[in-house]
Amino acid sequence: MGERKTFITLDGIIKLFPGVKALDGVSFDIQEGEVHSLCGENGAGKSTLIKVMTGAHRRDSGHYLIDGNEVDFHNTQEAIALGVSCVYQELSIAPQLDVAKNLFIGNLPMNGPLVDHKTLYAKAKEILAELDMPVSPKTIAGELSVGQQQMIEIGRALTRNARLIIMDEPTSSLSEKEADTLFSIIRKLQAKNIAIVYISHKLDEVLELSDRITVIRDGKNIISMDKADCTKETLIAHMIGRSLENLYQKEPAEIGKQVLEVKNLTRKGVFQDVSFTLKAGEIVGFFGLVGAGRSEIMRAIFGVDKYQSGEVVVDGKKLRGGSPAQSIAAGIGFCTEDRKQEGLALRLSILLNMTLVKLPLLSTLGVINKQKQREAADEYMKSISIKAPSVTQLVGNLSGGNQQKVVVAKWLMINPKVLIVDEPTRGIDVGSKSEIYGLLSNLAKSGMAIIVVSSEIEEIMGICDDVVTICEGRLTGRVKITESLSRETVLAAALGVTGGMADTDNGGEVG
Amino acid sequence: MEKKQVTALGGVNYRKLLVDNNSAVILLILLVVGVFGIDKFIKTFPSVVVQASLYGLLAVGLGLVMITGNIDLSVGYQAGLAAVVTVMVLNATGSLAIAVVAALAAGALCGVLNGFVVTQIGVSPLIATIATNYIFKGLTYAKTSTGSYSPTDNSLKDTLKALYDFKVVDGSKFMTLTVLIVAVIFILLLFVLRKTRYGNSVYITGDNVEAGEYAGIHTKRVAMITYILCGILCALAGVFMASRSGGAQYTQGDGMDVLAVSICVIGGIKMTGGKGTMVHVLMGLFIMRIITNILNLVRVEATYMDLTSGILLIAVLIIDRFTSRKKA
Repeated sequence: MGERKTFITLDGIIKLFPGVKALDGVSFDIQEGEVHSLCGENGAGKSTLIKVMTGAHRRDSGHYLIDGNEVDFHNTQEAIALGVSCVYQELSIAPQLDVAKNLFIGNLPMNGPLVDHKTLYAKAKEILAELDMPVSPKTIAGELSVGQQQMIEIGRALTRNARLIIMDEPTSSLSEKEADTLFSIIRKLQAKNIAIVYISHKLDEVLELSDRITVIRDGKNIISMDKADCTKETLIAHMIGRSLENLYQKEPAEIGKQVLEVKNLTRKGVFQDVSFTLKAGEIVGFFGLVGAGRSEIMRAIFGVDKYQSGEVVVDGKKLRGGSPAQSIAAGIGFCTEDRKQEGLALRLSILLNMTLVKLPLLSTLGVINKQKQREAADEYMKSISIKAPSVTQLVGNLSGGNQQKVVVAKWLMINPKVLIVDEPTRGIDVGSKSEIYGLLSNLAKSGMAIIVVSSEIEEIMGICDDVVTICEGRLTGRVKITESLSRETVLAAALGVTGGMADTDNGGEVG
Repeated sequence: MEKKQVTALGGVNYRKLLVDNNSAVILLILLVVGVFGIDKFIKTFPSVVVQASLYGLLAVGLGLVMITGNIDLSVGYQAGLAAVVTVMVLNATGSLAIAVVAALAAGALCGVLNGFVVTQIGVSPLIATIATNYIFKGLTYAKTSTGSYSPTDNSLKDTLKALYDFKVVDGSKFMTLTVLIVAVIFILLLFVLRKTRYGNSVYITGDNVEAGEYAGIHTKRVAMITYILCGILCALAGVFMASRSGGAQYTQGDGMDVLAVSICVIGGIKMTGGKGTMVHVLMGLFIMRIITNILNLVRVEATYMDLTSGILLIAVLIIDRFTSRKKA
């Protein structure tokens, strides 16, 4: 690693916002062709640091050197011109345009005043080959999967001769397979002497990919380490400033009577013949690849989507289906996968978001009892420690972890018998994750039945009693989680290669 | 830098205050200009209030629809049609009360049609209400093609006209029955939006339909009810319009849609939904009416009235844009 040349040096970077010192003297360097990960909790200053590097923000003081020369970017174009590109968490694909135009957006090959289509498609083909993407440059970008769209963003950086590509949570919406493709592309880029700054909450990925890792906390860089000197535990300890005994705090809960029964639920072309049961106090994980139908099954159980046949029975009462209001009344709560899309009204207050489901119980003849509403919200703000100045704050201003807690609180307020949580910790920091796990464990102890849908095996194996695997719209097995259960067994079942795990005798039936 | 930090943390953030209330600032500027710079501004103010009440009904109805994230470009001819119905039923029954009830029912039906096309068929609200506007306009023209459509009996015409002219407080210039009714409706809606489940659902529907659906709220029903309320409010405006001129007029509904949209947008109701209150509608209403009144008072020729209004509107929007730009 010694022969690598230093590409970027940051020295004592300070960035102030009204009320906060977002960056408080961050220093680190990036060498050509290295994968350098940035770790830190939400709010640690990673995003601000990226924005300073890409020219979206200007630093207040400190030095930023590229190839040894001081730079001062006024906008992202200037940074791109010097080889610094970024693939943001939120993709910026033009869904109606084709792949080639998306790759060369803002940078189209011209022939005089006209777009040179021949060169455009030829060059696009080269880039796609480089990215191992078997799609035509004329494919409409909106038809690609999220993973492929992300590849297009990386390809876009390549068309601009990037020397550094910053990737902000690139795997947060990718399936395991897509993530693997991404990793091999990263290796290829690295071989071409392109540096990668990699940001992820998934520490396993960070450890697998990185040459070096820098941890940021409270706007300061705490430590930069070679991967060899680093373990998951040391990384977490540096990130949160103390050692975290156990991320997954699952305490045993008393298993009660059956509260949910799903029988032969079928929605043509989406999922078939789904049957399982759930008892009070149980936490059951649903694991499958993206697109296996996990969320779709949950949506049908909750009544947002309709189903053709089968039934959902809550506490002995059969649901009519297709009505969230009825499912809620029967005692099902649903923390959705995408909190910004389905879970929260970001421009409205914490108060309103949190009490949304409970509102009927907080009103008389349609008029809301404001005092009761306020008290209810204040209570949950405290009990699950949502960090915000007051409940009147807009939800959009909160961090991801706190937003997720608002979603959970919304459902806890009606004290559901069955709580479905879909990807409960996506995109939130380790500290908040641990709090959410602790919360789920406590809820199970209090007798709630919980379904956890997740694409992280670790998470499911850490906090669930049982795991149910799904492959292509069918349940492929249900087993009790024990020390001896291996990740590979679960993964194989989810991939459908073993034809199902051997069901253990735990009372759950799988169809 | 240090000073700024203190401001954001503890003290009053003046910039934010200005941004959040920019329509209030614009209104204040217009009032100051009017009171100190324009002759007879104070004297004519009562008539501004009376006229504002009529347009206010349309704007309040549209405002509700806009908060749910939809739009209604048929408000003008929902009113026009209601005016026709008022006269028709008045002729047939001789009872003003029955005529008013019939007109409001017609407005509700218009709302049902709009709501149905938008929520059940799924047509974009912009296109849907442009289309229904043609229907309402066509129905209005069927009766008013000769220019106007008045009660056949002169005593009925007087009854109709008396409604608009009725003063609640003797001698007061602006405490008319219409102003009073609009004020009551306004306060009622202020309460409904703030304190009721329906009101909260209106905001959720506008900000994030999916989040609302997942919370068990029937967002389509909310949108439907809102269109119906809008129709009823427009119909009430139509009754007042008929009463003011003693009958339904041929082109009465023309341009009112655009006017109502302008009022809402200038007041601070966002086209994207989920944001704004009745107070915003009220401010937009007065901004628009005061601009028109000032132009009248400084005797802008009728020919140039639209041109001047347009230029002033752009000026107001520039102020709005300028004061709210920093928000993002």
